[in-house]
Amino acid sequence: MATQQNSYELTYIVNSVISDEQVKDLISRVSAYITEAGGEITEVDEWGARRLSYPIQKKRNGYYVNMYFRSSGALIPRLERALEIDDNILRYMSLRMDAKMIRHYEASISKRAEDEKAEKAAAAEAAAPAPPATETED
Amino acid sequence: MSNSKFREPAYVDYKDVELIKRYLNEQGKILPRRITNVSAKFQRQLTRAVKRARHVALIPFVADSLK
Repeated sequence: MATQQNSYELTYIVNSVISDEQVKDLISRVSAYITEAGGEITEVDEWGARRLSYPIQKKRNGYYVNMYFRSSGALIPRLERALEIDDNILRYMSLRMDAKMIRHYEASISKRAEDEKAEKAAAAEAAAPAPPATETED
Repeated sequence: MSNSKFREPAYVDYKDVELIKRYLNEQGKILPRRITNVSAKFQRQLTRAVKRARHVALIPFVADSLK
């Protein structure tokens, strides 16, 4: 039986009060949960600790993780339940990526690759003069 | 807001806070189409992105002064 695979985007906010190892551990646990259930992780992008725009569970900061994966739809309710139960996950949002979002995602990947290439070229060029200005992460 | 160079993207990413903030007032409310002068399609995409961004605390639900 070939179950249909969808692309998903998941963003979750980890309690940043816990230690770095615990955060890393939690992130790998979430990823392992997806792979064990037959999902395929495309990318895990850790944005890192950020200030929340409003307090969640009395916390003003959170560690953001944004990830992309492919899996069957049946995994999502189970995954969401696991995220809901974990006390160290303040918030999560999973989205099924439709064609538009996939196109947008792919465009952002190729743009990123180009930026990196340009950055490397600039860095190589600027080896003698000042290093390139640090870019703001979006 | 209606500059001729700006092309409305087909999908508004909730992660693109910079873009979204342009369509919010000081309190973090979504500006009406009357003011933003964007297409209905784009306004819908925008509204959805704003709601998603609020959910993950990238932008506030209510603010004394955004920006």
